[in-house]
Amino acid sequence: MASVHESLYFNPMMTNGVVHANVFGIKDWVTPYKIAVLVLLNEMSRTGEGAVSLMERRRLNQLLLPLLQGPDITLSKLYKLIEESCPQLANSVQIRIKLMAEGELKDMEQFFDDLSDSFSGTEPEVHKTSVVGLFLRHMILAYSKLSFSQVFKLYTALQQYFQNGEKKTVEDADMELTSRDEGERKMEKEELDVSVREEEVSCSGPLSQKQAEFFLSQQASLLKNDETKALTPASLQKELNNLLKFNPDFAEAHYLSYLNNLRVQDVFSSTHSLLHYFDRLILTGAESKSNGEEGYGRSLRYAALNLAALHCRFGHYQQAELALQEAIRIAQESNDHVCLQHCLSWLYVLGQKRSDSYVLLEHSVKKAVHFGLPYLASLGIQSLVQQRAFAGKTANKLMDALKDSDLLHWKHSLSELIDISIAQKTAIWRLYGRSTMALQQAQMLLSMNSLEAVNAGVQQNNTESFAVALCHLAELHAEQGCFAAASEVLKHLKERFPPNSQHAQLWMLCDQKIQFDRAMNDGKYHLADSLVTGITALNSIEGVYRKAVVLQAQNQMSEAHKLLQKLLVHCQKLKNTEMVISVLLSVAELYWRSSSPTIALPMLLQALALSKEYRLQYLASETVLNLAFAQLILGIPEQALSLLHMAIEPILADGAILDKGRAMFLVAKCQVASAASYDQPKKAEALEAAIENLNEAKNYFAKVDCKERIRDVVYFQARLYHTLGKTQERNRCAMLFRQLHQELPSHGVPLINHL
Amino acid sequence: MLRFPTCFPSFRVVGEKQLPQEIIFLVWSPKRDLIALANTAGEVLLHRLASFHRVWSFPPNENTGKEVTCLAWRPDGKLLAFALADTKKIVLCDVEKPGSLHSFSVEAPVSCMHWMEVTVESSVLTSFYNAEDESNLLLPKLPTLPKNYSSTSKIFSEENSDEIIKLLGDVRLNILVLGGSSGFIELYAYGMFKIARVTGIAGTCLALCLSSDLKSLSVVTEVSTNGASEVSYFQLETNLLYSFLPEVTRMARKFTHISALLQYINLSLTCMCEAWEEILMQMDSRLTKFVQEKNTTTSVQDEFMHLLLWGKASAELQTLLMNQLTVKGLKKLGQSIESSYSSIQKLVISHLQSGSESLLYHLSELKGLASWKQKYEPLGLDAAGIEEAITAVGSFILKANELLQVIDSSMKNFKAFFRWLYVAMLRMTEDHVLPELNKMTQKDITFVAEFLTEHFNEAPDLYNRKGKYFNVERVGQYLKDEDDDLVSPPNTEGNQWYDFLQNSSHLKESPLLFPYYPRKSLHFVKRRMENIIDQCLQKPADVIGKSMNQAICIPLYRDTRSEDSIRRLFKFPFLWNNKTSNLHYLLFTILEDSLYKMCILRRHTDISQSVSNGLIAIKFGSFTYATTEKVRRSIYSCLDAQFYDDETVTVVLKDTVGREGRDRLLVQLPLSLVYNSEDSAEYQFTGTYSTRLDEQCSAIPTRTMHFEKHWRLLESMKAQYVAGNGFRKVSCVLSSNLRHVRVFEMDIDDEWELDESSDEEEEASNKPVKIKEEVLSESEAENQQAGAAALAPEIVIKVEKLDPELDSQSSLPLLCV
Repeated sequence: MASVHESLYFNPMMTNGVVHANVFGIKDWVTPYKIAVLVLLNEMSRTGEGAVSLMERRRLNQLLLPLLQGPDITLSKLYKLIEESCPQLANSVQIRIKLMAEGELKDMEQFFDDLSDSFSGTEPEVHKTSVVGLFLRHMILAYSKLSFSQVFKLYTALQQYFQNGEKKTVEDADMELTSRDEGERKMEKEELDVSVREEEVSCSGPLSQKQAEFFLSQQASLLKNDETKALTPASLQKELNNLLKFNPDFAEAHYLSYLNNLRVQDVFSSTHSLLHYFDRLILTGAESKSNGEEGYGRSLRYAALNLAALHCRFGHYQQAELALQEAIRIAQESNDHVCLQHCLSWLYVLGQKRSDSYVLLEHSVKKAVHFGLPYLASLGIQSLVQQRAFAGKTANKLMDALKDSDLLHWKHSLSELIDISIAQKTAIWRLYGRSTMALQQAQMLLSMNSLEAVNAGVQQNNTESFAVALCHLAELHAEQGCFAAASEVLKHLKERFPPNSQHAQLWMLCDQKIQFDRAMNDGKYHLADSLVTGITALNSIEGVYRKAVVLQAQNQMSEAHKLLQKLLVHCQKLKNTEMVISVLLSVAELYWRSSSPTIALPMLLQALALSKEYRLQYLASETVLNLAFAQLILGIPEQALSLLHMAIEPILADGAILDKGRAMFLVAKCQVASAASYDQPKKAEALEAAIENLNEAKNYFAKVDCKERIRDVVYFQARLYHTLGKTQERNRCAMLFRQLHQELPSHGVPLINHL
Repeated sequence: MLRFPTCFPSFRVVGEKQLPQEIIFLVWSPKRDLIALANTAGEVLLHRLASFHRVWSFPPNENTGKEVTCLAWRPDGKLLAFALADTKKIVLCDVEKPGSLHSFSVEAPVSCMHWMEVTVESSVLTSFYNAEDESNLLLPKLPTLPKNYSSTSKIFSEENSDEIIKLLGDVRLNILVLGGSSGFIELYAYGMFKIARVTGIAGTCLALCLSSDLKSLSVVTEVSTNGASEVSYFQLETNLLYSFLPEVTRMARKFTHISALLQYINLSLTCMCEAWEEILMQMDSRLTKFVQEKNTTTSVQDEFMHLLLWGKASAELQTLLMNQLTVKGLKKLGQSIESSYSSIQKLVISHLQSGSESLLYHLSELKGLASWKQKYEPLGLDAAGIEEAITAVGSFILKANELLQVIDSSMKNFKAFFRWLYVAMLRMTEDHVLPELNKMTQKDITFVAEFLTEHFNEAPDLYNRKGKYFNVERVGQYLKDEDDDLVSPPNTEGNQWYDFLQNSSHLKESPLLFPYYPRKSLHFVKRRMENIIDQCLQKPADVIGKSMNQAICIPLYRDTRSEDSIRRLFKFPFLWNNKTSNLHYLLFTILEDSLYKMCILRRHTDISQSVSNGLIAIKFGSFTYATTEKVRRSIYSCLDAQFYDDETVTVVLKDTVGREGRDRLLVQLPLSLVYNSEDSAEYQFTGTYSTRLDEQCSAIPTRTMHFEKHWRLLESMKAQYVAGNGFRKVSCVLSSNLRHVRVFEMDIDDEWELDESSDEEEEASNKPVKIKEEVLSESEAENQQAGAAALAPEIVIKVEKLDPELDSQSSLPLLCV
């Protein structure tokens, strides 16, 4: 969850979470493609109402806007598009362009002269302020500004364009003849990633400014929202290098290169690119006229800030802190509050390990609100909520805060922040052990479409929020014994976040944890042991804990104990309460398994106190189960039973299936133990009740395929039936037990010593 | 002539009033000196003891109803319930102010109510009580609904949403028992949630009493056959409630939370519908009209597209825009769309979503209860049903989220579209266009074009369904109370999750996933959710109701007094539950020689146990003044009797030979005398309970009582009815014309004080006291502003000083006589 924010805090190509398309001012140029579009417009206005049918006209109108706004396309493709809407018009356009290109320069001159006539007259076809009107005027103006030599260049370019188009149509026709299917497939692919192909074509020569801008902004936004859709790191770098070869001062390209290098975790190249970016920015900033000094200083500040961010991402906290101090110093000198705000947020990110860092964050939120930086403020609030949740603050306040910020997000439709907020709620509910609520939030996020209309094709972004929600969903399914569904969710995760992408680690850990738990349930400890290394690589603390669990299951008590003690000290230092409680529980289990439940009690009480304080419901229930079990061993089953009353409802409501089974099993054990002192009819009644509960437990265990525990239950049931004198049922249970016992090796742990 | 007795028991009169309307019901608050009245006009009034000062009145209205049939206080005295016959509703109302906090409908008009509190203690219960607070810690507080909305119920319109908690009151279970005609008996936990529905009892309920140990329910019913009605007593066994008390308590609280939240969601949805204005449909209707009237062949979409791209509009479109829509109208439309959408958006996020999330939370806890089969299955809680309910709530939240997205995109689209249209229209009129309006980015243009192609398609089939060709406005379809499918469902194509889900094999069937109904409206999904939740909440009521067996039936008497049965009053028989000794008492009268003889029937709450002196009749022998004054055989007939507290019964007697105006007596009858242990063996009922009791009068043992104190002559009042309150030691007597009330303080009866009795003197002497006490009680009730708090003790002292003085003054003339 932590890295959600780091990547969002500062990005010069983005404001309020939306990646900008307008990086530079655009100057219009007449290109051959634009001439072709002009011809089309001219034809459309000439033909009038009668010649073109209504449907055709509608299609043409719909076609116009993408043509006007989109990048230049080849002539053949343009023909194809027009032909799809109105074949008749395509024909006449083709003829006119052919005439123009195969004629003389005069024809082009004449064409532009005629074009300006369309505004004149009493009833002009085009209003001068309409979309088409504006385009026409821009083009006419741009054309008239051209020098003679430029006009000539344009004309030769047009001829070239026309000839290329001709060639292409011939090729296409050939291809269609030979292998129609292949061609179609290719077309489909082309349509899918127009931009990519565009760049491939332009690889040969320098990109125009507008095209470069289009390319950069698209790739940048894809990197942020949906990494898989962007070019692969290698090919993107190739494109960028190519771009920089012709245009070494192109600052934005360096920035994109920096982002790209971050993807592959390349410290050296990314630092290099970042420094280059700011070098160029300072250069261009110094050249620009009005705010020269301002632009220069600004770039310096943000350069330092970004450097800090870079170091932070690679875990070089000391360097990051130095860079941040530099940024703060420069920002303070020039009174840049906005920059200072960014610095403050980063200061929090860096200081996250310290306990008092939330003070910084509080300041940051307040100031950000004051300076009207809603995006930064919201991010701050979200970080604060996360920090408070781990610190065990009351959930209702956190939820309130999230709801209030949600109101703002929706008002300004900040898609990304809404996603994060929902993902955060999922995580918080999971932390508190309320699986139903978490399930709801996760599904809510998954049903959301992106609110940004920038990338019209993309409905849902592949951001970290989605990865988090999907991981939770997988774990929730695994908890309830729906392993097939869980593995399908993981498959989906793999598709959306390929193994080498930024957020892949999330699902990898989740996948291995689920596998580990399954292996433990099945009693395949060697398998679980082999998974430990993988988990350790992704999360060392979790890995060590799981190692201890395996050791414990394999009856290597002293090794497990040693490991757990070390882990306990470490986690207490890190204030990782969740893990501290889990470790305490494991240690307690070690004690009562080695027949000294009295030593386990203080541990359990400590765990109970902690989990109550931090409201970690699932851990609290788990602790109560352990506590009740310890009491059972100590011979006070009545106490244990009344203690269980407290825990059993939350477990049944939100707990994992396995826990439900364990709880019911324990209840049955306690019922039997406390029935010992009863007189005969009451005792029989209690035993009947216990058998009923054992049946429940058996059902739960069957759902998670936990044969070992089923065996125990069946054994117990057989004994109870025997006591009650029900021979037939007893024999049935005994037979089941025998079958299971032959399948499974016995570990020699006495039955009573197993929770 | 000696007009007055020399010594007089002093139930001191503290208030007297003639009321404009006939009173049909009156009940004392169990904890305070407040009395609730219902009158024939349908008003519910709350009066204070002192001088019978009115605290508030709840006038009859359309929403609640006009015909109040009975009243009941919650045992903590903080809530008052009343039943309405015409609307078949039960309304709960806060004692602090008139107004419905909560109301629910019942199947039949309710004729009597009883609100009891469970007194059983156990360790399991206390641990349950402690577990209660968890949800408060985890769930954010529900915001209140906007003030101007929600006319029907005020439950959530207060400053904070603790209303549910207030309604629930103490954690200890309390149950409101309702009885009506044709054997209709229902039990409502916390006065809100139905936990049992009893069938199989014949006749109309006259009185009900559920014992506070939850072991049995006493019912008195009346079956009328040709003019006369036969009254019988039933005792129903409620062992299921008793033995599963902790579970019932827990379940009932969860249920109450859930039903309150459902109401909250309903109200939020109403608010949203109110925020959606009809004006938003203007675009659709204008365009539809345009299509109908125009004579060109071009479609609206084309016309607009043409205007956008080429800047030219056909004459028809121009008239539509300039003459019908107008620049001003467009501006107004734009504003109303923005304001209404953003208020709907806010309501969805802060009310609907948080409300339904709380609902989900409580349902998931309920699932935990239901899965504990051993405990909760006997109560009829069904885990599968609850899981289904959870899924339904999940779907509802998903739908609400979809609505948010639709609002968001609509807002964006409309903004861009209106901005463009505004500029285009200004151009048509050749007005000056402000330069900042003129700026339109490429993104905006794409937006407008997409909006036009998507929203301005003519749909002839839509015309058949809704009478319009267009569906430009897309929020209304979610809120309209219609079961129809959405006119323009959202596009889920390209949503990777749904695509994946469609193609998955196991995940599709996962019970954990909430289904999503892309084509349904929010209202539809809500109603579905409500039905499912209702269903799973209904089941326990049936199961518990079925478990309540009729254990004992005693036919009591035949009643020929049919004339006042039209306006049913609080009257015989009267049921009382003695909490300490676990006894049911029944007071009733038997007509014997044109006299009404009072009988007391008592039974143990545990049906298997019996009790001595099960039935006894009371005969009122002599009163002090009668013996001293004139030796005269007075014969007393019992008019009304009520339990004052566990030891005492307050009785109104009629002296059949007494003079008009001096023939009614108010008597405190101590039960210790009735059930005198020394000679109790002599008073055993020798008849059988299976035949009607008034046919075997002779078999009923009769005890004659003589009184020296604890009684009072009711001067110049045709007293008929009485209501007593042992907690505050007051009682109230109502005359037979139902308009005259007199209030007594009963606790000074140990001193042989002389009291005034003539009306004039009483008026005179009581006035100052009245005023003082009014001040006092008001300052008590208003709960102390700083100044009042300081003043209050002073006043108390004054009153205490004044009282004896006044009494002695007023009693002086009496002594002289």
